[in-house]
Amino acid sequence: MHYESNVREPLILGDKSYKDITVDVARPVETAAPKAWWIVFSISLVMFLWGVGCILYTIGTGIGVWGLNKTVGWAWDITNFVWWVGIGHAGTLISAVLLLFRQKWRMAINRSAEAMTIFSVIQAGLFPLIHMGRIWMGYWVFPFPNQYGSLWVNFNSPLLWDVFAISTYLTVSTVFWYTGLIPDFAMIRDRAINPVQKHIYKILSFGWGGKAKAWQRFEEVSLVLAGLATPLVLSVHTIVSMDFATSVIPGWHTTIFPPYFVAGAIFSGFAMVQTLLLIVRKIFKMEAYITIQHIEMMNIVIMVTGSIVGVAYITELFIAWYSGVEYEQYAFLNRATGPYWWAYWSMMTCNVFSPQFMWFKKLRTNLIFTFLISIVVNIGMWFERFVIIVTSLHRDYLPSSWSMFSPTFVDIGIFIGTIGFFFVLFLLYARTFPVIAQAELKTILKSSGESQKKHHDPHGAH
Amino acid sequence: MVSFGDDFLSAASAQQLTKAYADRRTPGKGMLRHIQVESNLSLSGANADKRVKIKPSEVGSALAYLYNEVSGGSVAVGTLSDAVKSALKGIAKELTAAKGHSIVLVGGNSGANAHLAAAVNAALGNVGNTLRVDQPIYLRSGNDRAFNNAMADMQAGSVGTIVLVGANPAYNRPGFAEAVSKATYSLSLCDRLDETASLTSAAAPVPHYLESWADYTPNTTDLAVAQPTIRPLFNSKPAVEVLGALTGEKQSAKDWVKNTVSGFGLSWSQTLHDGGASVNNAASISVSETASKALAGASAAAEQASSVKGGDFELALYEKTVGAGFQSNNPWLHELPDPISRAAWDNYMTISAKDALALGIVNETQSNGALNGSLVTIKAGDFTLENVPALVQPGQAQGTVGLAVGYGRSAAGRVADSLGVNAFELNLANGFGTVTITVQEGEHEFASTQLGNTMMGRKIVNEVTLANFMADPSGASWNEKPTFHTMDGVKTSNEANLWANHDHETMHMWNMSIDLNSCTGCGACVIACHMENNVPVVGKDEIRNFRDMHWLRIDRYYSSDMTDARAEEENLGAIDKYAAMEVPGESPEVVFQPVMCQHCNHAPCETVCPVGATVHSREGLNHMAYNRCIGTRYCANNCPYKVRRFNWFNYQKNERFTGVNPAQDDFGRMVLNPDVTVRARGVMEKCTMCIQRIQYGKLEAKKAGQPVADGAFTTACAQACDTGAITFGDVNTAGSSVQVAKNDARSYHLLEEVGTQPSVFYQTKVRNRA
Repeated sequence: MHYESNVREPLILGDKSYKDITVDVARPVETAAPKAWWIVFSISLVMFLWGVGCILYTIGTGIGVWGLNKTVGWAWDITNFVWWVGIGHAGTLISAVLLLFRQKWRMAINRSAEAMTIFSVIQAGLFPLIHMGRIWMGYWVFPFPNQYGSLWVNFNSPLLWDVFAISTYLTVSTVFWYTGLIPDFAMIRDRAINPVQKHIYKILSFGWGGKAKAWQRFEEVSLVLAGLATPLVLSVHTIVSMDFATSVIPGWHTTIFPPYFVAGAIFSGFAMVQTLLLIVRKIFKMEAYITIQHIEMMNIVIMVTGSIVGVAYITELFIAWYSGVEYEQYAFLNRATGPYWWAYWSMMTCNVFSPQFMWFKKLRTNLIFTFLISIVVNIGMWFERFVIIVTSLHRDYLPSSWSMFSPTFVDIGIFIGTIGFFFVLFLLYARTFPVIAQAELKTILKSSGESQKKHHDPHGAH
Repeated sequence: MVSFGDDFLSAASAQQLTKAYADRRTPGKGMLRHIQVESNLSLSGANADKRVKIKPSEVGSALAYLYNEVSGGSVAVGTLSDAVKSALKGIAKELTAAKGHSIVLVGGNSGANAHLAAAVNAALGNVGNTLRVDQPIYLRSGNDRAFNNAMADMQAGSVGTIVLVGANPAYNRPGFAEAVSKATYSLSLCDRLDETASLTSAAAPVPHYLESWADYTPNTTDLAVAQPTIRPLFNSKPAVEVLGALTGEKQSAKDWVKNTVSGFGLSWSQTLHDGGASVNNAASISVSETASKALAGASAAAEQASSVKGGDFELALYEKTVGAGFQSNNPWLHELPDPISRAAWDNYMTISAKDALALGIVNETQSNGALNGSLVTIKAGDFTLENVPALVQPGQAQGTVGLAVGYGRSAAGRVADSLGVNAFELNLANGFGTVTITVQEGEHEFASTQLGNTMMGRKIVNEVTLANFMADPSGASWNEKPTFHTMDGVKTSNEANLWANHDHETMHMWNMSIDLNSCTGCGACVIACHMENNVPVVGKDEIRNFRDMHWLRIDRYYSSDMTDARAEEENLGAIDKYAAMEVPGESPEVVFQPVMCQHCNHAPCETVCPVGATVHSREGLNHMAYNRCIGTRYCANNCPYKVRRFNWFNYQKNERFTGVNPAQDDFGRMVLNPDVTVRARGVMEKCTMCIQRIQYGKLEAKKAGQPVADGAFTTACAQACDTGAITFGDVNTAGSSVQVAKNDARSYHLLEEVGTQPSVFYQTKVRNRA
């Protein structure tokens, strides 16, 4: 007698066979791009080129073309940097942490989540580069042997820690992502008819043959890389937060920052994954793989991390009051009621209030509502970084130096440019890469058993 | 000392008076008490212990009233409000108590007012004691009557030839342009084709003062001799040679100077070597005769003063950073923010907040923090001045407005032309008059360098009253140092320490003391620093963007009517309290605080630089290695004092600075100091404590085989300070003046609670009030 507990919903819907999965995943690569793709790609490309123009203008003329001043030395540049790094966090969390925890539902989304991670870390990495007054000397941040009298970097500086944190993160994420891609590239190679295409995928798949030994090594490498990547989920944003936490500026000098930043990063990362996958799912007809269950799971993560962030905000206010330090108290009072109150309350509304709707199952399984909230969360997380950076700097210790910040067209242009660049990369990826880790996904397909069950027990009752 | 509208700390006499003023303001027994009675908030008014607001037309009556009070006389007194009268009664009481060692000053150009002030001084027995009539100051002396006569003669067509030397009446005297056209021939001896020179029949260039021989007698005791420091760059002739040739005494400028020196019976080579000599040139003016004349004429002067008509609005002209306009093509002077309003590159009508509200004049902060203001038209009699920006000025007497002269030049050069409005066009001969003000369409963009005008209840400038200072010489009650409660008990900021300490005993330890009591806020140090350190001039737009490059700035704070104590009394919440604290009071007390790099010994900037471009020296300085800097600006963000300046553009090449930055052409570059690097775009810069002077001084001492002597060299700011407010030196040298200052009960560190352990410290300001 065969007993089966049916508590878990199946992760792949629609009675897919192994062949169906292969065809579905390879379809975007093998067929011509739809019109919608071309439209979105063209818009993204224009945004990207506009951003390139603004970056070149900055490098050619000076940082003065931005809206910064002697008091507010960082604004949109570092806001965007932290925002993009934060978005990158979901990818590693989904692919590495959830792999270690054997969360099989990650398999349908990890490829795109990781792609998003890499593309957003690329955007993030741009900002520390272009925010330098002398970008052509930027390589001095690396500790390399030199003939300048053996000048060394300053290991006390959190900016230097950033250099290591971000480059490590980008490297490990890319290797992890690429390792997973190898069998899937091989699948596309095997199906390719066009010889040029076949040749390219042949190179990309590193001669994958699909032997049992190869699969065993593949699994082991995945596990090792997951183990390596997991601490990075915590470390990268911890280190980014230290740019602020180790400083002396009221509103920056806050010990709560590392956990608070990590939670915020996962929060914004999942929101961005949600935004992207809802589009991918629709355009490439992946509803069978990226199911409502996936959406719901991610919404729960958003709700939980959003609430953690909310607790952090309130803790900050409490500690500012409890510290008895007048500068600290004023910094937080100024955030909520000063000239940038609108930024603070946008942040509060978007990040703390809006995810609370996810307590309702009806709302967290509603695709349109989810899509809206995912956008709102990322707007809120952008404001969070703006609030931390600008409202702390603009009114610090000496009122004589207080100022305000207003972005110029260049500030805005560069930010728009990175959004364009991100989508250019993601759209190219969606047309040329297998957007779902099909080889992994096939391991959770309950093919024969499922169909048998349906055949014998159409009501699914035991 | 009571000053009626005389801004003696920034006027012509400032160089003579500032040092004496500061010396007599040394805290302790017999510290000078200073009362200022005025309409505009002047630099002197800002330094006063007590300030009384008055309309300019009331000054004569107020002096007459004061005269009656101190002398028991009964000269005519015009209408005065009860508030002014009671203030004057108090002043009279204080003056009477200080008979013979008080002084009353008066500003403006009114003869009647001057006479009344003399009468008050005579009645107080000050003439001959504090008022040395035998020691006049000759700087910028003039003769209105003679000039008016000359104008009348020219207009009548009875002037054949006129020669103008170093004067620009076409700019500062309405009607001169027409008058000079009636002369048969006119010649201007000038350094540029200015407003006057472009009207005269001929203009002859004179050399720059650094290219010429000259002698100066600014007062009765000093003779200064100037010799050229450079060959004349252009084909020019000194004015004295031209005038000599015209009068038939043809000799070189050098010979003229020689004659002056020998006229005093001095040795030429010795005087030239010393750069000058002390002479006795006292005027033979009888003290008793002056005093009795002053008293005798008081009644007539009071009669005249009481007939002066007031109005709803009265304008008092004043001079700010560019003076009367002769130096107005000098970009350093425009870049220096006004010490009071902190607005640069402009003149504007100052008006009280209440009057501004009544007239519909608006001052608004834009989203980038910059200030915009309404434009007004000012009418004085038949003369009208349009497009005058209006700036709300705390401390401005109600019913009065102020406007600085020296702006609105049309032929001064690329920097000054079309900057501001020309207040001389209003033709106010006495410096004040009744005006009507109408608000115009349009907005003006100010270049204001300070957005936060009050201290927000923070201990930034430490103050104490003279009485409390005398009562507790240790400073324990008025100069409390921050302490920290740690697990190991209460600690000072030096003890509650996260870092390893630098060794600051073995070598030099350069420290600086800034005495907030002697600092008058004049800004000479800022200009000196600008010159010494090749600080770029960035112009109005960039100042407006809060990107001034000054390594040294003078913060000005107004007191607010809201204080922590008052908030507690009124049970006010923190939000309301801080909102009210941001607003300066209507009659605020003013403090000035020069702030440059504090050279922290635990510097927040040093730890955050990823490439180690800013590092600590063994001598207590915070160094900046420009060529290592990659420009992340992290150091500037993490500086609690916000003294770091970033090179946002290539100021030496970028076209948008051609109009203002002297370093963009060959002649302008002559002002650059060859001992100091001109910084590249994209790097951070800041005060170095004139490291080039320190190095030079150390090398000189080494060559001489001597230890570095205290006072052998000093920083540019300390050198420029008339009042000696800035003391620089090695705190490890026993008995050095900076060591003495460091151990003074008044000394404190700015933001000591942050634990930065600065090498710069401040001396508490002492206010001479009850």
